[in-house]
Amino acid sequence: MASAQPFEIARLLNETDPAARDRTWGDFLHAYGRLLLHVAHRIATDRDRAMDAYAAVLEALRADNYRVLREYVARDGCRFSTWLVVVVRRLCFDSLRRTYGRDYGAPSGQTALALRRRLADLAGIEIGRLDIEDQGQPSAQDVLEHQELQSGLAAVLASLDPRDRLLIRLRFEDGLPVPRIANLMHFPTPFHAYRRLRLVLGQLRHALAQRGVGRAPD
Amino acid sequence: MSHLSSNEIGAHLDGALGPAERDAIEHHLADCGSCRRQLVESRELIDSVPGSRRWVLPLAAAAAIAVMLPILVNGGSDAVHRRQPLAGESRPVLIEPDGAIAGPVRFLWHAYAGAQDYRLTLLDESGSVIWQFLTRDTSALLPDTVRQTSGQSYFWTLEARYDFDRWSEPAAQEFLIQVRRP
Repeated sequence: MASAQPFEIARLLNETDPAARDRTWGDFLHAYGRLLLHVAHRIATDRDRAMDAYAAVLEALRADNYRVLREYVARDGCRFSTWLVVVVRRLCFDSLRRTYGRDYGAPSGQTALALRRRLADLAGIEIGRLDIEDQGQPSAQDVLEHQELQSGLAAVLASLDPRDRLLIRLRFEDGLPVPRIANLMHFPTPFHAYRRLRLVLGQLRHALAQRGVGRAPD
Repeated sequence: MSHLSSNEIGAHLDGALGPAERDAIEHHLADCGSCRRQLVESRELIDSVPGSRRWVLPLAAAAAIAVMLPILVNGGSDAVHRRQPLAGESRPVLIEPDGAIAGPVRFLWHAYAGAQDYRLTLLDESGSVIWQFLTRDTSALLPDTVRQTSGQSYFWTLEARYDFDRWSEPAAQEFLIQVRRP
């Protein structure tokens, strides 16, 4: 049997009397307003932006007869507050980007190179061969080698089981520490995640070596 | 490419998906940076809410480490005797290193009541044990002979021995060695 909606939501969405609806909206804010404000403050870089984002979220949640809130699907094991955080995060970014530009909150690419190098090192590829941008004016041979390495790495990544590929991407593209990955991917413990990561890196080394890319596995 | 809905992301965060659903969603997450970012940042927001359950190292994880470490270190069947924690006490309290650090790696922890000595284990980011140290002090310095790589994360655990072959539950923490200036 699916879980029911939270009481405040059910009342809000089912109420037809305008005066009563204002009261139920007040009840909703009483229950979840602090959560909405917390998310806005965490996303915005200063108090004024946070309050702007919070106001925009409230407006978006009320719009079109609470259309956004009606999108929630109650199911066993799901918490409405979790769904609300996901939605409010998106609404905050939508608001802030409309005001301050599309790049607001976009991830920095500065660590991407460092993470790619880390993966290459663990996968058995000589780091210098992967980054021709550091080599001044690379030769045609260097460019070709670089392309082969990039495509080789991309191909072996694509051949991984999706869950293993997700593990690699969270670690080496998104830069998450392993305990956070373990939590996110619902591993029993961080140790299980470390162990799985070690296994997958070994698979990568083996696959790359078979393609003639990188060092042979230990 | 269509993206995951808020319901799908919320269900994944809450661990409410069946195996087939989870596989399908993780298949998408593996190849969609936008949805991955949404998942990761939503998780961080949820964990940052005051009073929310923070999963740093729950007791289940500590127990798992307690089971796994003797197998990894000794490769065999050590019978590690662990007692049930007393009220208000479960494992040593670690001080440093925690998070990003620079300079020599120094381990520091609070004294554990009744401890005779401590066993410190250092693992690299792939889960391999790279150093283990027994001491009666509440601090230790990582020797230069142990390879330390800037930009790499490490995972250290500490157990207190309070009786002959009886050990506390392990405490664990992660740290990252920053680039060092000469």
